[in-house]
Amino acid sequence: MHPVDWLVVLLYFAFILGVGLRTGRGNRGIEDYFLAKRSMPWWVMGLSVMATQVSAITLVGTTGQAYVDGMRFIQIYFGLPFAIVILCMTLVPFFYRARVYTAYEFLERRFDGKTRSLTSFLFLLSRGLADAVVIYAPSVVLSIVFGMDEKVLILAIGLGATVYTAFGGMRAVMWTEVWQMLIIFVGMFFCLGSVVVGLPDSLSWSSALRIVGTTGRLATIDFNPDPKITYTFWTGLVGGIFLMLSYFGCDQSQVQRYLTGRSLTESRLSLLFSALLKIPMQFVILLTGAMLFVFYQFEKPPVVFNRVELQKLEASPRADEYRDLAEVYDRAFEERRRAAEALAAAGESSQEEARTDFLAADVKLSRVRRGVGELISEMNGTPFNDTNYVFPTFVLTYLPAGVVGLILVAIFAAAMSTVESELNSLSTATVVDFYRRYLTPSASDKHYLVVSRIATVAWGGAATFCALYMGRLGSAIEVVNQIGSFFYGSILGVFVLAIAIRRATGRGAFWGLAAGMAAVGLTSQYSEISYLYYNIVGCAVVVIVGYLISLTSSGVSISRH
Amino acid sequence: MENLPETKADPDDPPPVFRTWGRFYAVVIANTLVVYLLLFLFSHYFRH
Repeated sequence: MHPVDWLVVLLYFAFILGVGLRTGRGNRGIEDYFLAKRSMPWWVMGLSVMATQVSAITLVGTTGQAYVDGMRFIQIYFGLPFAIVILCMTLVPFFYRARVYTAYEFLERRFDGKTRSLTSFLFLLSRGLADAVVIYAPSVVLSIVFGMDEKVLILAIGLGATVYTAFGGMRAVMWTEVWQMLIIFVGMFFCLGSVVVGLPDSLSWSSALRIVGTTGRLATIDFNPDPKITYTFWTGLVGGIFLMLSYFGCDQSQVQRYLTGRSLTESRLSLLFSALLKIPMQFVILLTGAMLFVFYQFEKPPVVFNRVELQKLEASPRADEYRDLAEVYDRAFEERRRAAEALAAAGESSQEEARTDFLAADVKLSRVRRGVGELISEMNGTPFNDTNYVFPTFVLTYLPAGVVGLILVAIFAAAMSTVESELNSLSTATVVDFYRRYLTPSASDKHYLVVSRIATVAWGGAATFCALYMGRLGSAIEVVNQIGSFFYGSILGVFVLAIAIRRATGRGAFWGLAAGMAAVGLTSQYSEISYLYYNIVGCAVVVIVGYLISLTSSGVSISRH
Repeated sequence: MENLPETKADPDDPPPVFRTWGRFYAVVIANTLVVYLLLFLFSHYFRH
């Protein structure tokens, strides 16, 4: 890497550490440390919410996904604005007025201690695992950049984020996230700009879109009603509403953001602000991946983007098979390049023929690429997926010094903003829902502050350790969502019981939650519906079973808050 | 001098231009639907 890029990365670290340490000074108790003394304006919360969601996986994995599979992934966010409006009308005022630290604390007031503990435990489990993935993903990128051991990078990122999060608490987390989100915005537009600038001068914007559109990669809306397909309008809207309701309504890492608001208005505004920006932002990221596909029509892409695996294949007993495929690949690329040029230059009358030729050439090239992927897969005995390597390979190979550093910094910012938020919320749930609840209920604020910092360090260490073993989980972005989906819907069901069903009891909520999780487990085993629908299954089973058990419980309702 | 009524905004008020939260939510939903329509047109136009 060029010294200028190193300088950009070093400046970023110095700056973020400076912001974190300066804004995180003066924490006197856990209301300071976990909720920034409930003093944050809406735009800080809004940017913080967005930064938490934009992980390095989003930047690296989503662009790769658009390159390989197209932009249909955007439909997963279609439920978000509706979910946010529903939350602003229901859960947000409940949480805000209850003056709680965690969403699960609210459940004890409504139901009982064991329901609170179980939901909080599920959050710790799912977020702890997801945090490990979030640390792992950027290490993939940076291990390619630096040529360093992936494990060393995981340790550097995971433990690096832990240090200033443990020191500064929520205020440091949110202010660093504001800057990180701004860096991510700049990085995103540099990414898209760099790809577009790299296209041949003779290629117009509309011709570029026509080339990628021919392969179906610009299909952002698919009305197919099949529930087995994950990225459709209906799955994104219906399944997405439940996913987002669960995520923003029951996940401590999000709830804690809007609990820091200096008023309920500010909290609501922050969520609506992030909901409005989310889909356009994802569009820009996905469009970058789609345009990268056009770029690689005219510049030869590597046969697979993971160069480490390719080197292993070249040194393996199956190297001859690879060399044969590589020769076919070279010819197939030339054929596709000519077909792409012909498609770009085609007039109205010859367009259909040019499209057919281009698609045939693209299929041929993809078949060779798949063949090499299968060789690697057989060599390793594990499925092969190089989606996350597509974009970083482009950055490394084609971008000038300085821009590489800037995009790396954006990836760092995306990773660290997510990691620090998760660590802070994991620490909050651990200390408030378990340590203070069961072990030391009446210690001083100073004592809890020390324990909170220790908990942050412990979670940072655990997530980093888990990240070391996350190496081969396929497209990481789906893994994160899948892990969450196993618990989210069921937890949402408990909150629906708490707020909407007056007769619901603690016993009903607890066993309803257990039944909901079992139902999601069975659904994932014996059904082929998209994982986005698991949240609906989980939520519905919790509400129905919880309600029925509540009816059989003695002593009906506890007052609502 | 007569005592003037308290004019400080309620911390749960929406931004004044919308007057009620309901109107604000309606604007958010309408904006979302417009984005979906634009995405549909984009998808449709570059389908082939």
